[in-house]
Amino acid sequence: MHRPSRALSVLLRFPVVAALVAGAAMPGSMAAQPGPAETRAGGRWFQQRSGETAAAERLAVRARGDVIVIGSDVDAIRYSSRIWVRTAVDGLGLIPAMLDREHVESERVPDGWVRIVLQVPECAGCRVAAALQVEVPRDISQIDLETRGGNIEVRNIEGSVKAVAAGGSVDMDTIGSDVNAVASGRIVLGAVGGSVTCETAGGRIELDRAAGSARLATDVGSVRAMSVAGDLDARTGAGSIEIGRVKGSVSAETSSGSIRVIEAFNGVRAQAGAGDIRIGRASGALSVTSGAGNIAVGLAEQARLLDSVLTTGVGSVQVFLPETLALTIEAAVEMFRGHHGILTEFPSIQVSRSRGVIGTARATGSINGGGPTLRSGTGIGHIEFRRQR
Amino acid sequence: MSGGDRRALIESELLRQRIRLYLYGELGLAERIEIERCKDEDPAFRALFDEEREFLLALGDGGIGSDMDSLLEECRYGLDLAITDLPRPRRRFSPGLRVRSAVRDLSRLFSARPLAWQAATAALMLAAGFLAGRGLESGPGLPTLGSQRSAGGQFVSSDADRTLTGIETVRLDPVGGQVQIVVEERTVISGRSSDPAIRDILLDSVHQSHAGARLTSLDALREHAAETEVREALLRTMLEDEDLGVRLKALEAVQDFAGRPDVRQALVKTLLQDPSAGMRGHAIQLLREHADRDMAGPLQELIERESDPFVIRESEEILDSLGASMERF
Repeated sequence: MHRPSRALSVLLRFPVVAALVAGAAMPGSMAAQPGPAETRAGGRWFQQRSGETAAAERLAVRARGDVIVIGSDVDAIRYSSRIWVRTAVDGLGLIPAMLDREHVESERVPDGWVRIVLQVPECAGCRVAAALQVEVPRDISQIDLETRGGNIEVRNIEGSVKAVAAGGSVDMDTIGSDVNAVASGRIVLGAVGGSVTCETAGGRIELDRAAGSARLATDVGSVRAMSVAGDLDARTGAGSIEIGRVKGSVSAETSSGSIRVIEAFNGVRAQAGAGDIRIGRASGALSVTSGAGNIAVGLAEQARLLDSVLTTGVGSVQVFLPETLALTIEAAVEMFRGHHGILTEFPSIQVSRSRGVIGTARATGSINGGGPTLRSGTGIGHIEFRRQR
Repeated sequence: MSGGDRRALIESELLRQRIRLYLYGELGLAERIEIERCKDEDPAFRALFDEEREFLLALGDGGIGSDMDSLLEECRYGLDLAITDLPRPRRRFSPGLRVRSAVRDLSRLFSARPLAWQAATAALMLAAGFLAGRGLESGPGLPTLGSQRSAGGQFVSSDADRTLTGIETVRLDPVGGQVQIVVEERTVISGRSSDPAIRDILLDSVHQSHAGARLTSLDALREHAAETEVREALLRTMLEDEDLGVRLKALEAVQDFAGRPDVRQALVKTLLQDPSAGMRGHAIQLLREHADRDMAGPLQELIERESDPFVIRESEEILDSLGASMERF
């Protein structure tokens, strides 16, 4: 069994490192380069090619394998492809000839597009891996990337980016405009200057900062968005959702997992099939529902609350209210054990309870003269209305 | 047998079934009232009722019918006494062990009365549901009803607040002069997850509560995943829980220990067994960071049947990094 050299293993496992190494080796001339001849070590063949084309307003890449696009102060589009082939036996000696063919094509197409295609050779009984690194002027306005069986990384781009990584993950940072990412694995986004749309079949989604709205959806995995200036829509089939500050509205939905929102200024719709929901400071209309889990909601000091609903099937509901907020309370506990069922620190909320070991409780009342209605309920559990401290 | 006789027999058998369900306590309120009304008004039905009851009493050693309520009361009373009588050194108080012990006591009590199982189990499950749903909800800044702090400001389990919440029955023995009062008790237990007593309850909750409480329990246990007992519970949950979100939460809880053999082994099982491609995707990413030659065989097996492109690609890359072939020979 042939084992890769340590350096080659590093390059295989860390495509960004490989890309940087390849980038450093990239020739500086403007002519397209056939690249160095293939090298062979044990049962592995490796070939690198590089080329260059004039800058364009838009870039499209179609590839198999990893794709890396980096914005920098260059005034042309430079690309470098790397292909690895591993096979136990090359009895016919076909692999060198296969690698010798041109695998990267670039062409100009209407509307200011440059299109780069990385074609990976097919080889029966071989394991073929490929990576394409593209260096572009930072101020490029639009990038459209598609790859099969590889990851996509994009950095330092002022324009918008669309990335589709079938069978791979997406990693982006410092993007000046909108981002649209589709992946099979994780999607990790740093700072984005526009809106974000993300969808993955089975990985976590992380978004550090978006200047516009964000729509994040994964089938299985956690979703984390720390700062969103517009509206946020976060969904997962299974996994937790963690949200920082959102200036617009929040819509968060998980079938099974917790939801945590630190601050939402313009309404929250949170729904968990099973899992706790915690909202630190909220304003606007709230619709918070858990099938089985506790709910804890704090209302912002200057909250402009609209009619809201907080309900859970099994679990407690805790509401932390600022002293100055005017609102009307309606609460119901279908089944509880204990002295309270509903506990309130506001004397104006009247609580009535049925007698018995398993009781029901209802509460109504107005705080500061009444206002929008806050309805809260639990099937089994208790409800608390507490003063914010 | 004539048609009329056969019909009468069938009707009689149907009535017996209803009576049996009534005696087992499995009928709804409206049906129970109907049965009781028939018993009061129809002598033939009453005779059938008495006959069925005697028959079942003979089978079940007297554990049904009007004795059912008193049996439950006795069980609860016995449980309460047993709990009250338990020696409780302050720092060795273990609610988890207490619950397990109580369940064992109940099992012994019921073993001689198999017919009592269903209703009693339902009552026990309800109580467990309440405990799980209500007792494990404290967090920073979000105080729990009834929880208490020690003088040092730290929650400790021995401060468990036991509150009598309702008198269920009061029975007077005029001869002996004894009064038996059956009361319900609600217990709020607060403490740090590092407290062994709290951890015991959390470990029970991971397997026995509803999905919401299981998720929260896993969150609480996550920081103790270095401990073997906790890690075993997390891995079992990752492999066996019916809820995908709970399995994923358990996987996330052990991700910092993916280099350990027990975790790697469980991740490989997840890879081969979990029906969710998403779970398999998470597992393969953790395994990739801790690739080991022992994984080659399972990964080769996986590639032969895996349909998810992401899992296939990650598996191929691991095999490649191990210098292993993609196929089994």
